Amino acid sequence: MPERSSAGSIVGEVGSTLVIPADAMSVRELSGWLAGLLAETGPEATVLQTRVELAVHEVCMNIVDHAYGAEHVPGTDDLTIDGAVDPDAIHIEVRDRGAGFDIDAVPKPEPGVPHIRGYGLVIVEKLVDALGYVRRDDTNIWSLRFDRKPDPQGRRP
Amino acid sequence: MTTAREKPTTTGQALSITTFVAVAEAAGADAEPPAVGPSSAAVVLVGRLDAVEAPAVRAELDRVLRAGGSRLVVDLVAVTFVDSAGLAALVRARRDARQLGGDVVLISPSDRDALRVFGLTQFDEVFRMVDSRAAA
Repeated sequence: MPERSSAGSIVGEVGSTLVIPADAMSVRELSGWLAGLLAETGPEATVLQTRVELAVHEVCMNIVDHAYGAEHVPGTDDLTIDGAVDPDAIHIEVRDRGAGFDIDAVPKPEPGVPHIRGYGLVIVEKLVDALGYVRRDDTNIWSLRFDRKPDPQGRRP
Repeated sequence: MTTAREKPTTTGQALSITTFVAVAEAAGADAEPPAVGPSSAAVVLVGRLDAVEAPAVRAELDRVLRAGGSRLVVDLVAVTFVDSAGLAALVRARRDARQLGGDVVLISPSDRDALRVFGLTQFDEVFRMVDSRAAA
């Protein structure tokens, strides 16, 4: 399990920000945006890209599906995604103004029993080194940390 | 078995869906179908299997199953990205196929990153996944 934190802000300087509507097609913009953010990591970028993209994609789709829901008419600034690169980690913060989320109330799929839904957060938790969620005023804030150092126990997916 | 490509479908720019069904005569297919063996239909996906494309994939797999193709091969060799919504479309098809007395066999993505989501969710232990078309 990754670390859980209620902290919801990137420490240090935000390297890049992506602002998109809450719809699945717009979430695809993550790929190009992350490529730009991670370019400074040099040879690590390709490996980091796939790991970070899948995790942030799942967080964003969770917001599209649950925070805003099917009745929502996407606005241009539904989702704000900040990214920062430091020597030790990649930090991503995702903010939305949809409904609040009880991260601990999400049912976990039973191991070995195939379910159709419910794997988004499972995927996120296996890809991050720390995951935080907090609701501040009318804003949901997700924070994700991806350590750049190799996992000493070899658990890195 | 003679196969023919049926109803090539392209959804947007990111994923193409091509369905092969067992028929008496080949009908001008210009793509190579999977060696589907004892299966009754094969669906070849190329591109990104994400939340945008999952509804079309789900609809196509459902259509094939309802048409009698309950022994279904889904070729993911050229899929480059799979998310939980794409995975859900495959899991639903597996459930429905098994209820019809069949099953869904997946041909693994050649892209390690696309394959990763199956390991993270342990669906690599639920699906029968093979590495090559011939083995399906």
